[in-house]
Amino acid sequence: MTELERRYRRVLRLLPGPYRQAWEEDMVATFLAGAVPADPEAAAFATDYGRPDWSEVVSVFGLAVRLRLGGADAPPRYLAWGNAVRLVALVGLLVHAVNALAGIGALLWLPERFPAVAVPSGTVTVLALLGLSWVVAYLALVGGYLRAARLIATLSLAPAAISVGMEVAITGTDYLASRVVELAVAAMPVLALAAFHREAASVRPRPWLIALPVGAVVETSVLLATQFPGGAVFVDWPGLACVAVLVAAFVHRRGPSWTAAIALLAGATFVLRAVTLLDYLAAGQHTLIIVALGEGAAVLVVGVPLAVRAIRTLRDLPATAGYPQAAPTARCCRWHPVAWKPGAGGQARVSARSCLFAAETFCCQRIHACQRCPAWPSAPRFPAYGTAPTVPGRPR
Amino acid sequence: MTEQAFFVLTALVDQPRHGYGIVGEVAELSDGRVRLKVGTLYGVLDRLVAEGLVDPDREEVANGRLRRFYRLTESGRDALAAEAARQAANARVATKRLRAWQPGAAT
Repeated sequence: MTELERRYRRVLRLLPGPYRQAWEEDMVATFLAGAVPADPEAAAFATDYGRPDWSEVVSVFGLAVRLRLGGADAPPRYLAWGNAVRLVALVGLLVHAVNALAGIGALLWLPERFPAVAVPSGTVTVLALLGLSWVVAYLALVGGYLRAARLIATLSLAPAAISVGMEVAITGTDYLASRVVELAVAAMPVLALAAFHREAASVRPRPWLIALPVGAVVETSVLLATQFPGGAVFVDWPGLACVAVLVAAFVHRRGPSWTAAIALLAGATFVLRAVTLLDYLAAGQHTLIIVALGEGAAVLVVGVPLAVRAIRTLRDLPATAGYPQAAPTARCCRWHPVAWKPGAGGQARVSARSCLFAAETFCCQRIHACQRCPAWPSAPRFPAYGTAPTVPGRPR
Repeated sequence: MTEQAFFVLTALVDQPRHGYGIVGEVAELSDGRVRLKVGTLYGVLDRLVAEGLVDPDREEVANGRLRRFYRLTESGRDALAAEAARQAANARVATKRLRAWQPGAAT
């Protein structure tokens, strides 16, 4: 195997195992046919030092995302993963949209409640209004306008990124880590939108449309109930997210996708809580530290068993049923794939042509004798590499 | 039907081809506009095989490597014909409109 082939096969490891079994050899052949030039000298250089072009890597990555986060026709395991990531995108964008709406609400009631401090500046108002683009992105996703949703959601990250930049410019790098993590967590549902590919089923809009106003009312009520001058309850945003995750962990719908989605969201929330806790530790705010510790621990206690359950359930789901299969292939020996054609009596038989292929290379002769290979009926001078499959088309 | 699937099916009309053969033929058919990457090609091909529009044909050995050929099935031919008719109808409508609204013709 040449270095170039080895590198390409390493890229192909991104694809699910059953898919590789059906398509890898063919993909490698096609790739090498295009990547190795005709000129012998250039070909030798390419096979030794060449690397798969980045556009080839991107195309395999895109295929891997589509297969691993499967749509309606995918095997149950990949469909469940796909549904879980789609739920993360939906719930994440919902949270962004609800926050945007609650933020606009807060602009209205904050000056009433904190007359001494809170006079929203122009920048704050503009950022809050820009945040409404999350609502547009969410509605576009629920309505099935996937490209619009992806574009608007990506653009909606810009104000957040700008405000991180501004904050770092003003206050220095003390809180850089937590701001960057906050930004990464905010970007998580936007990345998860990749699971809404062509083969993904469309979203049932009704429950998600109801969730938006309900969420905005609930968040505004919580903020109104907890934020007042001299208030004794400390609820910051990560804390609110922790409480939301805890509630969701207990009331979510049963099923592997929801469990996995809540586990992923719990993970993100925990990371958010942990880095903001570090900020509080640096600032020595004792009450906040204790509250944040409690919240983080609670999310961990609930989230870890949830994640374990999700991983176990997803792992037990079949990963092959309904998979697009190409012509049945099996390996003659460890190194060379050959075509197994179903023969009489359900026996696998190697076609003469494939046999030539196996015979023309030294490996069968030197390392492994191919037992069923008609070209090497009495070859086993060396230990045989297992036995040929008896079921046609099933790679061993 | 995506443009890529359309071109892959078109490339298989005259004869069965292997993966790299399809890439070359699609580039030629589209005047070099559609250059299929391997990941993209097999993303299209696996769907077409699963939908029964394309079938694996035969396998040949070239340069010590197995090449799998693919051929168009009957339903693949029908699907391609239907899609081509649809696109042709669309193009006809647009051409007709453009001819009627040529600059100068309207005034």
